[in-house]
Amino acid sequence: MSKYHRSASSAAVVLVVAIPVLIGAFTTVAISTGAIRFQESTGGNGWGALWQQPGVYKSLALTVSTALGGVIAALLLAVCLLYAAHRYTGTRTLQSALPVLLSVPHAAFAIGLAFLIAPSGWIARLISPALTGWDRPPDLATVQDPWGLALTLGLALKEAPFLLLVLVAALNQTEHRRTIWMGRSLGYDEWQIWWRLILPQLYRQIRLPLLVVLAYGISVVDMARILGPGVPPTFAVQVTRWLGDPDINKWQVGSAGALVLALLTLALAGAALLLERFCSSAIRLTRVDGRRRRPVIRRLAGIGLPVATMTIIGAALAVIVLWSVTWRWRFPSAFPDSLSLEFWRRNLDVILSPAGNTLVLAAASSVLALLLSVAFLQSHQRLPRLWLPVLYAPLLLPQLTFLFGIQSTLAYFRLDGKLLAVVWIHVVFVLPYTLLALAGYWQAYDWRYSTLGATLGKSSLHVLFKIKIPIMFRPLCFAFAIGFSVSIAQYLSTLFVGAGRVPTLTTEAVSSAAGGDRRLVAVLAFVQMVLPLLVFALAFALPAWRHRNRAGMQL
Amino acid sequence: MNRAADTEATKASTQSGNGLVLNGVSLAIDDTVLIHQLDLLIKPGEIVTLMGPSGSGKSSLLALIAGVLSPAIQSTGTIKLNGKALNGLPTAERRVGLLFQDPLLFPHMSVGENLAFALPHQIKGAARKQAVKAALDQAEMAGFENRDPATLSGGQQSRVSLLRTLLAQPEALLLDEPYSRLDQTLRESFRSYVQALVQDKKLPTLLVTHDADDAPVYPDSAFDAQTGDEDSEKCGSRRRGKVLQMSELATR
Repeated sequence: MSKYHRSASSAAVVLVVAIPVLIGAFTTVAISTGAIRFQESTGGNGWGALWQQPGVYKSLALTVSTALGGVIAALLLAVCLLYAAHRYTGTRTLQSALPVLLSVPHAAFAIGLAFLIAPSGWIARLISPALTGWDRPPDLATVQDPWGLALTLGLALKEAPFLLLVLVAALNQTEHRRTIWMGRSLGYDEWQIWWRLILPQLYRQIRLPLLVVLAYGISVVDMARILGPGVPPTFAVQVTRWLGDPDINKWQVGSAGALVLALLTLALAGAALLLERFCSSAIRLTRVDGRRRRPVIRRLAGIGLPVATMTIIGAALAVIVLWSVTWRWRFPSAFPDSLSLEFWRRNLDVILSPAGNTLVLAAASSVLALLLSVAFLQSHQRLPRLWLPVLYAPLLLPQLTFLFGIQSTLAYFRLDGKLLAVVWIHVVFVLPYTLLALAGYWQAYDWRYSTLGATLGKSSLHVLFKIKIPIMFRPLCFAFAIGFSVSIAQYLSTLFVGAGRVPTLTTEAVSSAAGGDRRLVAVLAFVQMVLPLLVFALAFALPAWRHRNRAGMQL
Repeated sequence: MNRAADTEATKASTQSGNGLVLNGVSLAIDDTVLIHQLDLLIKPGEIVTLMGPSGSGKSSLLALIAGVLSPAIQSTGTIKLNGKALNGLPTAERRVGLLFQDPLLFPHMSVGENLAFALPHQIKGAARKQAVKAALDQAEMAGFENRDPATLSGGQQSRVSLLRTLLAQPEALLLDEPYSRLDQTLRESFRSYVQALVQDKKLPTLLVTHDADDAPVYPDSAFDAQTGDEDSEKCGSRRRGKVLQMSELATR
């Protein structure tokens, strides 16, 4: 492990991730202030025009309420889910099931949730007309409601599993079993022990992931287009509309808006930290009040909420499957009146081309991200703290802030809309996940295997490919599957860098979700949802098969 | 410790070029000296034992010789193996075999693959298979080629681990507490197995251990240049091989 390798792999990561994000953000600034102008543009500065746009303040307020509400609700759900899993099912099963749940793309999940809770959705169909008396869909705004409640719910349900994954990892680093024995011996019930003794130990490690969820919620467009209100939409959706407007002058307004999203993220992150302070001192005041048990809250939050959450998520995914094979499903019927694969046959050409793009993008970007991750980890014994912000940058900044700048820069060199450019932007978003997925395994690797290989006369490359990588086969497969699902879920990055000319399952699903035939939307969402699941299944099966006769390589 | 005799021997051996020779080797972490100016000759087939509490730097000396010393530890002095200077050579070119306290059989390979991995590239085709088979036969483990290493007993794993080291045709052997994980009976049989192989292959060997009993016992005539030391323990007409104490190496 030479200094040369270390600086080369660091430089590669900086070149692929950090520099493009910086260039993108600066270009966005330059466009918004008029420092960079497009031909035929008349306008000076985008900032003044921004505040005169209709509905801009309402959009901003919607973004604040949905993003903040989504994060807080996701955190509460994750905490309750972790409690329930810890108490009733054990966290080991949770840990292997979670990545699969996480792999469901945001757009597919939003579509499933809409199919579930819409006025003509599955829930309404299940309880009608028996309970409600409805024989036609009621005139209620249960999705795309003006307050953004459906979007908040969608964000909370989709992000809770991600926070849960982080919490499980943090929990396993604490002495939780002994803490619980100790608390019990003092007469506290598990729910009180959970809140007073265990959660405070976990919070520090979930702070950064919480900010990632917050930034995501602020700049989310695919879920917001499906679940959020239309007039006015959330700010990120509005910014995307401006940036895609045929009127070039709107691009400056959009760029200014993209930067407002960044400022908003900063402000809300500050607010979240203040809120955290406030909550922690409130908890500190009450946690020594000696209250031993709260049976009602314990049952609601420890059983009711987790069961409801898992039911809704399961039903949202199931209803996608149902609709994708539906031929006729009249309103109050609880289940489809007739099933058929006819819709698949008719739309095969509509599905195949975006599916092909999706597969190529996901496979190429995951392989590249894995190569970069391995090169980086091979030359850094542990992930240095200094590196975390660089690696997380694409996740902590709102995507719109730098994506439009990147698109404009690429367009200048006529590189936008090229498949390779989209592969690269996917790598930017996939790399942080593959790197984090592998870091722990790389640190836990017994270096003596490699030393032994060297003393047996083998070169370091030989040792890497014949010993270390085969021993790491399982985590590498797993990281590949994570990267694959991150790539499949990409929406904004594909849209911008692909300049609308690289359709994927995600972009097609989102654009057809608004007013398209439910069966076609379901088919697209189904394929989008099943691809990562298949890859995860392979990532479990392949190492198991390869190591079937090797007891030392089992989990 | 008789330094004059040692130095004489070192000179003699440097001229003949045989064995593992350390000249003025020092090791230090920051300001803590672990080893100060060590001169040592290990003749072909001889086992020199290095003892000391954990954390005293025993394994660092092995790491220095194998070329895997952490950059945090400063080192000086020269190391020669059969006349060839090791300083600066990459580990893979030193031909120094290393055995840890764990057998560390590569878990993704069969027993046969573990052994074949160690064979030099020059041995090709059927000869590779034959070499693996011969090694296993000789270790009384005939027919173990396709076994999963995780299914072997502790003693069998240790033997395969030693065989693997030897198949790479090393010119010296470093043993880092190789017996400490074995129970008493296994320990004795593996110890004599190692000693027999070391003598058979004429390998200069440095053994790091906690247990004074791990040091080999030689007939009086063997390695007399070293066993003339006043601190080597007599056992009838046989003597313990040379034993170095880390505590003495740091202060001399």
